Amino acid sequence: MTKFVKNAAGREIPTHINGKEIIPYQGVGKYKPTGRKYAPPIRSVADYPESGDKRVKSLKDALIKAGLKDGMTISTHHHFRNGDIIANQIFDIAAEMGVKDLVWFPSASFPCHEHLIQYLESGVIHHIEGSMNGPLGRFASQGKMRGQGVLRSHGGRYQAIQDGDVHIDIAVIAAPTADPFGNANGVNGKAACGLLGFALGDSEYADQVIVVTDNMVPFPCIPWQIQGNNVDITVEVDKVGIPEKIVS
Amino acid sequence: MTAQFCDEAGLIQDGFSFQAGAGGTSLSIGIYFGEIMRKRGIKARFARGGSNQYLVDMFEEGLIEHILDGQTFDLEGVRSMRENPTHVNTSPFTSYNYHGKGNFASIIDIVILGATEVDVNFNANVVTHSDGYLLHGIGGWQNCLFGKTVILPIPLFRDRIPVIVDEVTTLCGPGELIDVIVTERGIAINPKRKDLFEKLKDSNLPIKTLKELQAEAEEICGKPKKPDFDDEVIAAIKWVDGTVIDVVRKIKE
Repeated sequence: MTKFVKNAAGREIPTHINGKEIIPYQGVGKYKPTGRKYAPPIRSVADYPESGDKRVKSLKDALIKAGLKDGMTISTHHHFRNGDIIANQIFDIAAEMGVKDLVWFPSASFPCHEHLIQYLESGVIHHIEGSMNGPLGRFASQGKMRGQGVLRSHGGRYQAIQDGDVHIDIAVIAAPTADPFGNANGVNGKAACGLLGFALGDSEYADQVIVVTDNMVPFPCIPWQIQGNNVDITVEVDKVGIPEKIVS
Repeated sequence: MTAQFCDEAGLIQDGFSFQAGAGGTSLSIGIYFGEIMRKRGIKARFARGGSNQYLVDMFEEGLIEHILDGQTFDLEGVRSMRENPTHVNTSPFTSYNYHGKGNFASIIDIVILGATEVDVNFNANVVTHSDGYLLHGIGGWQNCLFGKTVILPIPLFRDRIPVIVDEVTTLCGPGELIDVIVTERGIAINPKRKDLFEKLKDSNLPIKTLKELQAEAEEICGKPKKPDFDDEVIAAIKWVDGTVIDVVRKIKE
């Protein structure tokens, strides 16, 4: 049962969030975790194409290959800012497949993600762990999201991935340029957004990593801000983001 | 006023570093920093971006030696990152991860951030508005509080609602990490920063306490009303170490 406790800042907080026990704030620099970092499963080269070509035909095929199913945590990054289209497409596909109770773990959300409110209502998405700007925040504030939101700083998101506070089942990394092996960067391509740093932790720790691009170049994609050695599946789409809206 | 404060406090020195944002305030402060650097013939060792055209201009002029970039805010930022080897892409691992062997947030000399509310003990809120609605993310805000001098330029009121309150609606940043609050009617320095008081003691800048600034705002707008919340918790606010610093509650219908 959830009880309420006072944390070191004097704030009344529940002992559990989304059914999981939390650690109350203890003061700046006071909480020191022990143990080892979280880790993704060990893989073998034998299970990946020798040609280095990890392409599948569509984002839907990629999500099926990654084993998309009820209750999974799906992560995306926000380097396209309000010009992101892939996050919305992921949940369109999930809805079409009849998948439910997903957790969306973005590095941030923008007004373009208002599209996802229908999936919070229909049950495709259970809750969001990430910033909720504008429409999504208003929706949550009115008590309409089934689960509880969890807001983290950019550093706190990396910490949560690294420490295993959040387990990412499938990371989808939209990239302005990539090669079939999964190396990717944000500096080249028509949807260039500069970098892909917010997706680094996702690429290192997720069970399945999908790189999506509209600018597939022959191996090697240089610079490789995301390393293909961390990537399971690659997919080419017509459009990975709306360039005019990336600058927002 | 923020830039003048930084100057009088002796924070703008050869080899200094600063955090630059995309907002109007950060933009004007960056331009002012540029003027001072040109006049004195000094350089910044690095700037932390959000890069955009103005930062890239200063960088390519040679005023800034490195840009450590977390996200590019315009196409000039993208171009510069592609062409310039010292315009470097960073990740939350190198810049902000608190469970690591240090991160560069604490190395930055001057950090300028926003806030939706500040209380009289320098605690600040960035996620909810004073009407209680959750409308913003945390971004790198909490992480940047570890910078050497953290300055929040805020208006004294928004839509006739005072921004300095008795207690913030949602606690996102502990006051012990926030050094200076700059408003259009005065500057409050955290009592912990005795060194800054000392440097500013002969200044013409209007140095006041947060209580004085709060009283000025309330004289004009009255005491702000607190939002009406239900008991139901709709979101948790994590601190940089994964602990829960506060929660957001449902708005009463």
